[in-house]
Amino acid sequence: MSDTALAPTAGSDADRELVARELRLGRIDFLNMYPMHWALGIEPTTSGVPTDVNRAIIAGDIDVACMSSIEYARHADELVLLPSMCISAEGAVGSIFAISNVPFEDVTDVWVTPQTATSVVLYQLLTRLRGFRPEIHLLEGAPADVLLQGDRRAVLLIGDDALAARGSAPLARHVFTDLGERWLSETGLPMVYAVWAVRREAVERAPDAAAALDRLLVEGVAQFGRTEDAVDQAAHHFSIDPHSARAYFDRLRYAFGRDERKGLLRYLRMANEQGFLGTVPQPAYVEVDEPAAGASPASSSAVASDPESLRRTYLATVGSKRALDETPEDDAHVEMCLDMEADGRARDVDDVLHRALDGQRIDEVDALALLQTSRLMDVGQVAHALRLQKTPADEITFIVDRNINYTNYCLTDCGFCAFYRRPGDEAGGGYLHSAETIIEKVRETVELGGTAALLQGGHNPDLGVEWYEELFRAIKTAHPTFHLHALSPPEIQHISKRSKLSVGDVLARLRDAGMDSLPGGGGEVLVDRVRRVMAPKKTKTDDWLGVMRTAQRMGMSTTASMMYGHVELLAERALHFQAVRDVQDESHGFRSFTSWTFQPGGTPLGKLLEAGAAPYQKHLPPTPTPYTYLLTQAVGRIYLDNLDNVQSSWVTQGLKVGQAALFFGANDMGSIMIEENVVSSAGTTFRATTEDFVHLIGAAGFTPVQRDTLYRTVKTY
Amino acid sequence: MSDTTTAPVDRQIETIRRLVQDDALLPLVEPVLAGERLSFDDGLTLIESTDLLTVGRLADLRRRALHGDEVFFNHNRHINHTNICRIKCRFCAFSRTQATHDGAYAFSHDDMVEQALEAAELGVTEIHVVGGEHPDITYEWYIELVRRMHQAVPQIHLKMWTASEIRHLGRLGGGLSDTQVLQDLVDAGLGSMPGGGAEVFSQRVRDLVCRGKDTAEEWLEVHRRAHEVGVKTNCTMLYGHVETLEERIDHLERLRELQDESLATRATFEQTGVLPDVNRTGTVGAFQCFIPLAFHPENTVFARRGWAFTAGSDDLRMVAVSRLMLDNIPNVKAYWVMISPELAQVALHFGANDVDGTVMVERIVHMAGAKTQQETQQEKLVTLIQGAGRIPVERDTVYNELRRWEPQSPAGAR
Repeated sequence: MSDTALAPTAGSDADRELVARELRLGRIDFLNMYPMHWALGIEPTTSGVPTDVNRAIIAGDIDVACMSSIEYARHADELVLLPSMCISAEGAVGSIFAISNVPFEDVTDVWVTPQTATSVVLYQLLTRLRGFRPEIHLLEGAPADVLLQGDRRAVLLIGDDALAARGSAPLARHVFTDLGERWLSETGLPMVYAVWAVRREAVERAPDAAAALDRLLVEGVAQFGRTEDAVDQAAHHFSIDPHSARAYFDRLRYAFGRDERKGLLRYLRMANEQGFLGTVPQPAYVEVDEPAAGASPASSSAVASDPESLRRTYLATVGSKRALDETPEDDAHVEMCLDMEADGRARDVDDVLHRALDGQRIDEVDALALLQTSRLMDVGQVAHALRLQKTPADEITFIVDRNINYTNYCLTDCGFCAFYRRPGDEAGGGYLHSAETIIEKVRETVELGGTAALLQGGHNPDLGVEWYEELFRAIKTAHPTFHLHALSPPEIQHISKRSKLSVGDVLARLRDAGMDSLPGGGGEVLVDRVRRVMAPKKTKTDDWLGVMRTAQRMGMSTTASMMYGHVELLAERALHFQAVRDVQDESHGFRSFTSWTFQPGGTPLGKLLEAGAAPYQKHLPPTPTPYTYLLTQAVGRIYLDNLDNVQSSWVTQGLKVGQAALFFGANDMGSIMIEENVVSSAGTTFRATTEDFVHLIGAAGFTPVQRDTLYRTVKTY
Repeated sequence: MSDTTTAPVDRQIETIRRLVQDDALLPLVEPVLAGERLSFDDGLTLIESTDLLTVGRLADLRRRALHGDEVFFNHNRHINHTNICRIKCRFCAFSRTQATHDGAYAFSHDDMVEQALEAAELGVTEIHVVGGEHPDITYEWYIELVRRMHQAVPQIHLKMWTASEIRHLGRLGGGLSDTQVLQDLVDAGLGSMPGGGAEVFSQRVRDLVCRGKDTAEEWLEVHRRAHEVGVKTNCTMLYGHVETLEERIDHLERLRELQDESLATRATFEQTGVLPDVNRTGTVGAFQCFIPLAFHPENTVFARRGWAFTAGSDDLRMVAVSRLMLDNIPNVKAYWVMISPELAQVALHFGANDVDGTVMVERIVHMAGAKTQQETQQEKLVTLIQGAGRIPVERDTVYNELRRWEPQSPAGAR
């Protein structure tokens, strides 16, 4: 880590010289340590993996280091802590995973690396809280092999190994338990992984140097957060892509605040109770003056979160300088939307509902009036009544199929996506499944009673139409009756550009190769103003609808969807409904409609919204809640009178609300989702089985019916 | 402006009549509007109906008549003083029967006081303490615990121990009466009692799931005595395991009967000024709130038998039917820790007017695998309540208003 060419300017040179002269420094060569050592810009006496550095400070070979919490606790008598700095995370940390081939609670044996003791103890505390004690083994060899060689196993990976494992193909099917996330849910506190410890005699000898060190760290880490190039440099040094590095630093906290101290104490107390320590240490702290002004450690995230730098980061991420502009055309469009919203508020909701019940078509402003009301039960009951008329009243359908995300390499840089990797970013978890892997997934799906796969992926520049043709033919040769519900309109458009063919030709060739139907992915909100903000390089509204029209004219079945709750105005949701209904009037090719809420976790768009930095943000409706979700689904059912099936989205809403949604206009619970990568990347992870669905549908008083992609009955329960 | 939380009542009735899917519900509309008492059979009609939204709407009419648009929450902390328990309830993933078992723990007075002080620092107004029935703790230990906690945090309301634990204390004290135990606890600083341990009153069910625990009559008797002594209590039902729908309605009826008794005693006192002999507090208690508790099979013997978690629709109808049947219990809670914050929000339109509190460290539920985060900020609860078009009101344990969030402008920017 000697390439600190881009040195920090924060902190005084006098402090830097004092520290360099008086204190021998240790450095752990992990990415999470980078911002602090960047901040110091001081050459260490010792560097290496945590065990090396821990050993050096305990032996007195160095005076100070940021070291493992548990090792500090074991030698707390000889050590004094810096009061302002630590490494912690409140919740998911993204670099400490128990990767298991069964659910977390079912593990009987775990393999660990000797690199850090803190996480190994943390893992054991978390298992004991749940009343089980897996046997600990030393990991030698590849994690994937250990997991393959027996059932009920887990591998504990930390640091850069864990970063690499996330998304690596051989581990993709296993359960990743983020220990930081688990710790938060068990204790409600942040987890402190490492603390800055100074040897007691060094503090006594050079108290000013210890205080200066604390100052340098506080000021320098804050500067790191404001310096984009520094993050890029860190990413470069550790060979990961800047996007992943930024996401990682965003989760980490360096401020040693009140909650962090509580978290540390809770951890040490529990470790002591469980016999990992002889006593609970009473930490001593280096005395410092008041925290430096303007570098409050409370602004704890390493990456700056002020709106201006967030906007810059966002524009760089989505690859467009204009994505967040508010142009005169946008102004006019937004004004039109706001007028429409005023019209909606003036409508009589009861009148709209009665017209809908009488079988009359409602218009966009009517739909908007329903979206604006908080009368969920009224809207829900009308939607339910209409759904009972439209699909078999006593049945609720679901499908057993699998999401196969064949690649996560993508050129499009959508601001809402937590799943994709830039082409070539193999180290950051990028992958492209081979045909063999995909066919194996299909085989597993068939074995589990599945009838179809939803095959979607990134816009991978390496894949032309031939790749898909070969893949589809190979799948169909192995499994002739298996349904391929594949490639959303943006993927079709990407292939058409990549292979220099018309959309019609691409669709015809893929259909001939075995593609059965087209999913409605990438629809998001079909308003170009919105699409330019959230995904400036992605398919625009007319092109999206154009692909659908073409497919439908060719007789292919398709679906429609809406992902909302980001940068769109309420009126733009109504405009989306309108776009879908208009195309459906022409060709009746949409088999079903699904809506779901944007899952902001970890995405650039989520951060932008959180900071209040999206265009026209003051006009946006509040962040959707489950209530919004049910209301929106119900309005979709009422407005989309030319569509038969409405699917609830348990994947984003959870099974409780996803099931209750069956009384708010939905007649289908969607897929049990044998594999779901995209949503779980943003931190939303729900899992279900056929048994769960049969139970949940039955509990609602309906007959569970397994259907195929074209809504034909496979099995009635 | 059409954007009100709920339509006028007459419009709602019109909508109910027009949209009802289950005609068996129609005869209940008038009685519900008039606030008349529903019978056991009415309860069965409601709970057996697949017309969930009409049932919910009826419950919402009652809720609205009682509470308008207000929804309560509080700042509370749960502490489970021990998980060592003489009973082995089969729905419990929390207990250890021996102190030597993995994960077994028992807090000392000092531990408890420390946690109470921590809670005070967080601005908590209520500490909720329940735990295992540890065979080796003395009666004096319990009384002293209440005293020490009350001395340490006199400003915090101590809501402690279920009926089953009160009985356990009586036995530890060498056969003390419920009344005696309750009086000693009140003298030491007890504020009120939680409603846990009611499970399902049917003896058939209790024999199956919690043999060895107190009977329904014993549970009810303790609460009867508590009310008499002047202790307010809550009540619960743990549903979603082996009980039938009839047994659920029966449970609600029995709670309603006891509440009638206690309210009658209170009315007598208010009219005549005469308190029960045993009462030294100067008030008569009653049930404040009913909390339907969804059973969590994870980590219990039931999980291994393929038992499923309760469906969202079952949780919602349970809230609704409780609201409708329990006409004499003021509050019905959608306990977000059990049914998820998401569904708790929806339940606010199915008769619930309380979502419980910020709930720090709820060990019993979380060991059974409830996936909700233990610590939810007030902000989240406020957002949840406002998102349902309701007015958040922070309350204390006995339902005094502490703070309210007035409705926002409908534009509601993020």
